[in-house]
Amino acid sequence: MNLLEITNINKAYGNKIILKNVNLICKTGEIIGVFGRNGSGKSTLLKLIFGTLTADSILIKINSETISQNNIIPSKTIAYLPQDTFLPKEKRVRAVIPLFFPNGDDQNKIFYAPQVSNFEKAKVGELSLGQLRYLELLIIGNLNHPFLMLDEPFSMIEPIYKDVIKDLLLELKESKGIILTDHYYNDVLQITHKNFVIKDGNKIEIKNKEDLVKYEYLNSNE
Amino acid sequence: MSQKQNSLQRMTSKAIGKYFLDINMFNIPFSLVIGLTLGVFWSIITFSTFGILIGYLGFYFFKENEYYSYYNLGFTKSILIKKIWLLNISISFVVFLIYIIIR
Repeated sequence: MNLLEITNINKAYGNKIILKNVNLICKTGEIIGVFGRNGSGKSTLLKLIFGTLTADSILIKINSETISQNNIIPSKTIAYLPQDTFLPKEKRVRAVIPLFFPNGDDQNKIFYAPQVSNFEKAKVGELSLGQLRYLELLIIGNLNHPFLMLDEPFSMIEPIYKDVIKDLLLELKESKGIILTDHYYNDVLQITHKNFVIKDGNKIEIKNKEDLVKYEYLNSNE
Repeated sequence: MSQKQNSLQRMTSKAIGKYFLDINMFNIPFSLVIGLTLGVFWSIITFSTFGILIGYLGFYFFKENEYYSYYNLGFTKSILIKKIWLLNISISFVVFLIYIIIR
């Protein structure tokens, strides 16, 4: 089992405090959901952990070993799904997969995954949003990184692929720890073990949809 | 060499190869324009210096999000740029030698 501990995350842009002394723990087998209104710091949090955004302060430990933000990417311990696609749009799916997995057996895990045969000959730029998101998740999920940070994996996805993605995430959590953020709260709440809201820079743990209303992420009539 | 090391090396080659092509897709036309205006020598120099900056900016403006592919494979921007710079320096050196010989 792997353990990711992040403590004392602080981030401000000028006078605007985005995250205030946030702490977070994620271990193999867990899916953690992060909610928050636009601009509350959800994506910022994931980027700070991944190391693509510099924190005012942060302490990251993986399996009790301290690791600097600069070394997260070279250490290959955390994979990251950004909001916008990271795959080259001009390439065909069957040409993209070997870029990440030179080994034939690893490639087959992607090629023989559910639904992939339907679009493996298409160009990345021709895929539907659901197909694209699913492919990206399959790719980063099959890397050996023990933790995944997912920024809006369900956003604008057609229902059939939402279910496929949820099944995939539940399968991946058997060997990984996952932190995800998305506005599609029903989908997130279906698969997560722990959830919290970011409000005014603070992390508030929530138990259910009523708490999302309580902490003003949702209106009471939603 | 173990199968794992071999696989890692092939992944590195493929990823760096793609970044090399993407950067030089902008660098080569720029270096050729320099060559046409200032001569072959400056074209070769540009290819391994200022042209890389042009390639970096081109990639940044048109394909920035693809950096996340490289990040997920363990390559930071500085690692990528250093590798491309070394490759282009080597190519420039060879091309320069050929230029000296046939001149």
